[in-house]
Amino acid sequence: MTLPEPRDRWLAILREVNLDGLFSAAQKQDFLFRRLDEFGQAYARHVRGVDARILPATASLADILTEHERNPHRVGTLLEAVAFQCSPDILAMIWMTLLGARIESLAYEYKRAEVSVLRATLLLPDDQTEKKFESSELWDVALFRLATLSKADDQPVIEDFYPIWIPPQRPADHDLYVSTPQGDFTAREVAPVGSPSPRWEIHEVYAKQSPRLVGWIARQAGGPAYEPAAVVAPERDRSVLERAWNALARKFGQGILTGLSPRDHG
Amino acid sequence: MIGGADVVLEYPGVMRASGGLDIAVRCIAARWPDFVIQDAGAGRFDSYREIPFASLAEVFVYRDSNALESWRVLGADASNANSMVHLIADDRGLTIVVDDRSDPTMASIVREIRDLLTGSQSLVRAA
Repeated sequence: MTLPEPRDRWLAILREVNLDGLFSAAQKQDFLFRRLDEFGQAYARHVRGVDARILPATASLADILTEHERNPHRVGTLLEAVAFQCSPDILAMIWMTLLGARIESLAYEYKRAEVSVLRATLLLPDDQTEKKFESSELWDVALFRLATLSKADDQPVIEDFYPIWIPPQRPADHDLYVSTPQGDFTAREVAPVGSPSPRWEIHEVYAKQSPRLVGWIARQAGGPAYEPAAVVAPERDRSVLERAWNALARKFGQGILTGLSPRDHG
Repeated sequence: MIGGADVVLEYPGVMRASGGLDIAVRCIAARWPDFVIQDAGAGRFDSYREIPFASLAEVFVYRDSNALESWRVLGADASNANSMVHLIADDRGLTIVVDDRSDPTMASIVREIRDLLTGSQSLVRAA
């Protein structure tokens, strides 16, 4: 088995959480989708009899894709849990939590070379139905790595699960790179082929986080036009774009941003 | 808002806007079980499961439908104080707007969201 259809969609989703490198081999992809299939069966078993208005009755690959359109971070969490080799039952428990169930209790018992038991109780969104989970699979302990923690009025709360940062295994796709005291930036030429007007996509690059899209710089007759990516409060990104533009122009010369091929400038 | 206060929690490059909003809404919903959410276009969501966080950048979380109705009729009237939280998110951070940060419920909500967001960053950085 390789990636199921729509293949491009699954590839893009894996790339979003930097799991594309891990799941690039056919054997790993086989594990991923076999485990997702087992998870779907376990989930359906656990929610059998639950009103579909409380939790959906299925968690098929199609359901996961639909949820990705609405809440991509939840699918990222699920895929990371699969990557940590969580069992189908615990994946179902994580998915139910992501969809609104509340973690009422979590307990872990360990004795070297003898015992590893994880127990969880969820309260479903109807605030009445409890679901209990138990696993002796050691890899399921990885769920604690995905837990979001807080102290609500100084009392412990594990609210939810969220994907952790996994470093990308490939360098960022870019044409130009510039380092400044205020931050490092990459620029990628994104104008349509043959366009006389250059258009650059600017990303801010972090050491231990994924690059952030800052916006676009289009070269126009009157000078550069800045298009911040942020819809809310775009002013900050506008000044970041200006800073990136000036740094790129200093490093590569004005010509690079006004229509010469990046390849000519290395 | 009635003399509202902004709290900005940054998570640049670590968390998606949808994730920041989701975590914050979940936290508020735990305090206000009868919560109602409006998005910036006045679309209304009565349950957590309905909310497509990926298509939202800004939401208003009301304590209950009475609070929503009162805000609709009276707007930023003193009688509506601390019955709604305004959340604005992008991929750099989350802004929480509350009426009075010294109000115990509001202070508690803000503290918990800060824990959840910054706690997640700690996990991310340690990984």
